[in-house]
Amino acid sequence: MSIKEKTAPRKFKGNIERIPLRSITDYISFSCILTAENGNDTGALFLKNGNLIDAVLNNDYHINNAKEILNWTKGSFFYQKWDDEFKLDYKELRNILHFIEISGFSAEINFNFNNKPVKIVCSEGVIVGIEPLPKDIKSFFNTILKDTEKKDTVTIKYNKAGQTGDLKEHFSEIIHSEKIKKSKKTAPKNSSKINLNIIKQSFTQLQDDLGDTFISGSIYSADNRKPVYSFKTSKTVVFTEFQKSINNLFLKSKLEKKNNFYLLDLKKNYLLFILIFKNHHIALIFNKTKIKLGYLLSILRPLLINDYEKSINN
Amino acid sequence: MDIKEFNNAIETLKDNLGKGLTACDIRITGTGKSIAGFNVDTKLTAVLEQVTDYISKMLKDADLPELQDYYLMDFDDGSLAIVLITDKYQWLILINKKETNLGFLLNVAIPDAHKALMKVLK
Repeated sequence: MSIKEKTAPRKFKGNIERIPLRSITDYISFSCILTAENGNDTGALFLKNGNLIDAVLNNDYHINNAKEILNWTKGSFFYQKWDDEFKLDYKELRNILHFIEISGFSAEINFNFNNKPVKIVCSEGVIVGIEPLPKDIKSFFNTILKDTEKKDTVTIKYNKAGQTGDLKEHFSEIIHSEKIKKSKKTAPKNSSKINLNIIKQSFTQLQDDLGDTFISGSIYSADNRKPVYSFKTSKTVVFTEFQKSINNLFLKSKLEKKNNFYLLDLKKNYLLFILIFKNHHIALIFNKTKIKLGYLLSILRPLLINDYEKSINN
Repeated sequence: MDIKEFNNAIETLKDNLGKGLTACDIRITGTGKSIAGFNVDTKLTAVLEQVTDYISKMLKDADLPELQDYYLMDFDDGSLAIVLITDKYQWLILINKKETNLGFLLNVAIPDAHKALMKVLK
């Protein structure tokens, strides 16, 4: 039995007062939608292989909503591991389709609509078939997604290769209205230009959220040893040359490994976290006695990546 | 130095991580000599030992504190390298992230492994 099976049940419903959502996300290493409500708001965290990839708060799909949801101190939550076959409430249909799209999953979704069985087949995040095929696909989705009060379940057969067909519809166009922000991840542009305001806001937000746990932060250009921007530090850390040396080392050894981040446990209670991007490196120092590693890697890291991607796409 | 004790520490790590543990290698720092291991990838562990040197140099150049107990390096192929540091030894551990729970790894398996290593060295 692997660790993930030992430590996190496949399906779990609980109270946030007793088990904070941050603890739950630390112990999930599989894919699931973690839904939660706090009496006023409803939200969901989308976890792919345990990594936070998106969040929705009251129909607003954006990864930055994860912070607010994770800070809830009351309410309830539920998750169901995405296994071979499982059931979820019909009201989660929009989230199910969104999760399949952003994760690039293949799955078959079965439910009843107007007392007739409907099957939606998705292959690598794209709808490739609907049975029976509606005349107007957009109006079909508008109708089924509006019916959020329906007391029924949806059966999902996950990871079954979808049958390929003529129909190849992208979810975003049909399941999200224009008012809802799209949060589909985009690959970083091959550019070293960066919107520094977004990075400054990101570091200021870290300071607001973590207080003195966050000691300092800097962003470096991969081509230049000087920091592009530094927050609460005047030190110049020579990551650029270090990273070049590491890349050369792996290249010479013919090891096809590219690193995403480093986490260094240092003396004086420092924890140095270095995120590696193609054109920049972000280095952050935390007080290791105050930061939780699970929170740093599963929650903060996706948020920082998202902010960085926004900064180079704007 | 009792090799059996090092092997016991590796067995504890294997029990904790199951399929999540891809390989590990305990080496004497600066000698390139392996004293115990599991499914050892000699090329990778030799490279990681050199990475430790680079990190130490980078920290010194940056006027930052030295490495204490460990460092992690995350790779885009779904693996994670963890290097536990002591004065004389480095324990290089390679993890398959898909088979490992991160919370358990960071909060239980790695602290347990570090304790086991320190116990052997006492």
